[in-house]
Amino acid sequence: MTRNQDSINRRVFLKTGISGMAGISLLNQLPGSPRLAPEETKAKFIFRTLGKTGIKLPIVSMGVMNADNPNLVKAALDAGMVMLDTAHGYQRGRNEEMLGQVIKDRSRDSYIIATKVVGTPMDRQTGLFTAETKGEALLEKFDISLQRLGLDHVDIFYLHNITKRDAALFEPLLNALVKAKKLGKTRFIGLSTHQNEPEVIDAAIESKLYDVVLTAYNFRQDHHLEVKKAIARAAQAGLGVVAMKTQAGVYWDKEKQFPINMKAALKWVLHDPNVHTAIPGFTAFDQMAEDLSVMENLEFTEQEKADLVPPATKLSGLYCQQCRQCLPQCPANLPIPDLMRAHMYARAYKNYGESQDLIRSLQLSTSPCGSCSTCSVRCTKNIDIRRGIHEIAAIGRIDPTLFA
Amino acid sequence: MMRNQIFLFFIGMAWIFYGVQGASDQNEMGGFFPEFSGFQKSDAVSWYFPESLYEYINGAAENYLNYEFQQLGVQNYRNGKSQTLTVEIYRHSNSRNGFGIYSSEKPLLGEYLPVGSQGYQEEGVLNFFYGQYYVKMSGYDVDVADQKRFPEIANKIAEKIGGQPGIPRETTIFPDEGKTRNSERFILNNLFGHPFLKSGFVADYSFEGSKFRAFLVCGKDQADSDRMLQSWLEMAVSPVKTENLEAPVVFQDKYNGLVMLFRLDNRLVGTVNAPEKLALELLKNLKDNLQRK
Repeated sequence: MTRNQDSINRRVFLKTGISGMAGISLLNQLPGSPRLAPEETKAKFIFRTLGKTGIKLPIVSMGVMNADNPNLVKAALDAGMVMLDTAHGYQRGRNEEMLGQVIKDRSRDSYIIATKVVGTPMDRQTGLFTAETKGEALLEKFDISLQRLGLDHVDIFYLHNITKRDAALFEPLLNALVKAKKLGKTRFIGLSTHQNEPEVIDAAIESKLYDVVLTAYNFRQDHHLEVKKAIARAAQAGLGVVAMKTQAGVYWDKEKQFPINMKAALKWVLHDPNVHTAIPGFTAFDQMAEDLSVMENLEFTEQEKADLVPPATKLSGLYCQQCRQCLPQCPANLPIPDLMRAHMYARAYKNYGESQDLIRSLQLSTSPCGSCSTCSVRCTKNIDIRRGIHEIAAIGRIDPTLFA
Repeated sequence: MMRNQIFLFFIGMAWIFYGVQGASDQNEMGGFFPEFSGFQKSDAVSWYFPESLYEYINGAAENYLNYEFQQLGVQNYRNGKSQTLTVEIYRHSNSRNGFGIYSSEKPLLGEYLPVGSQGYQEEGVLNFFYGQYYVKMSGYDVDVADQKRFPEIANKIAEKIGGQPGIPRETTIFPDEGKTRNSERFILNNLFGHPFLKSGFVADYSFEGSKFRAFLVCGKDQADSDRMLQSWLEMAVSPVKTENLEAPVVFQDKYNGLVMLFRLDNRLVGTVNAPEKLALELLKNLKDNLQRK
């Protein structure tokens, strides 16, 4: 299942909102008014402690990056999410401004906020800072972030996008982070890393100054075992560990045919107890509902386990498996497995000649499903049989010399 | 055997065609980086595509990919004082998405300029969009005198890009009175957090201390907009009268507040979170504007 499919009865959630989950009414409450998740709902959530910061967080937090709707952030906080993750550069600052509007009416202890600033200039080839990279510039940007957020301090201030040990330990920026902490502009400091994560995480441990690491971590990373080990070392050293890029993209394939099961991907990350919270991004209420469901239940369903299977196997599984269980269901006695095989030749292998040969050998009418207004056949692999037949039947009418 | 050879031939032709087209696109965009006095190109153009955009802008890439990003060219220029001006030209799938990505990043308050379709300048930065292209110029260490030349340089780039300037026609239906200047945006997915609404145009309004949004959603046809409306009404916290969809339909969206809208042909037009009286007035103006255009 994916973001596009129901998993925790999305419709029910959307219709009833948080009240539906908790069994209370929100009908008299308007958006923007303070609505906190009731204690019985919060009690169901899984909490972990963010390392030495001591902050207890639900295992799912909100990556706000692409959200532009303040009501979505409000709903996430109301539903029980606590940490909001943004950055100086997201939407060129609009993201922080939007968050500032959301949190201005809330008590400061009701949410945790993290922002990130990139140290510049950085040599893109080497991932290292240069002699021109100054801590003052980092702090100037950070001050702008505080201003946008309308806060005198954030909870976590990350040095953003570090890919090398030497960059993580670059003294002018590290000193600037420590200075911000001493000045009370941030409670904790951290770094974020999207690449070469194990080396960067180890550098964060080595520094003995960072409190939190924010790292890319997902089941599709080639080096996820190395990241896992580095995360374990960080947790052992007392660092808080926040995972990002948990959902590993949206689709398995470039053609966007096969969506990734976001919920399964998020659970996979959170099954690692050394990950204290994850920050999946979401821009829709139903996506939020999905993530909320993970906050209280990390158990994989059988389907979710299956959905984490690598793409090659998965792709073949989504085509007809020739189980022939459809045959007795079709009132027109169509040779569905053969039709689906022809469909696979054309769609998956682009072998139109083979596909046409097969279709023509079946000697079907040009509209095989013509006598049925709806299709009563149910495929065990959930293949849309009627659509497949409709798509492939036309190939029989094409001049075969085009494929000869 | 013969068939396989022909199949391979077609595959080869397709590969060559797309390869050539890709190279041609790249060459075309390469011509968008002009020479101008006082600055020299300091390196070759770097190219990024959907699969490599993360290498250049990391997590921010998601927003660009959402707006159907296709290609980025980055050219650095240096002036005599070794100060660097970086010009990034992002190509998106169409002008609507060019506007979409630009509008997702533009500031509400800023010094707006008539460069390309629209642009703005801030300290060390000049950004503008021109049809499907989003151009970002940055030179944080460039001294003030050279920063003052950014509009002139931007115009040279716009000239190279060519084509028709102009912001999407849909944004012109939002009446000016009470509208926050330059607040118009195009949102490609999950408008108001609802996937069924897909994409739409929005503008911010501020009236008598109330802040709210006006929106325009275009369905493929009337049936499509009816389906979207029906899905939205399923979110309403109480029953809604829908006898006449051209009269305002009023309902409370659980998350977004009071929605007042009408359906005109394939379009849903309305306000979110506006006081009823103000909303009625704005809806009337929106309808007039729609019928005029």
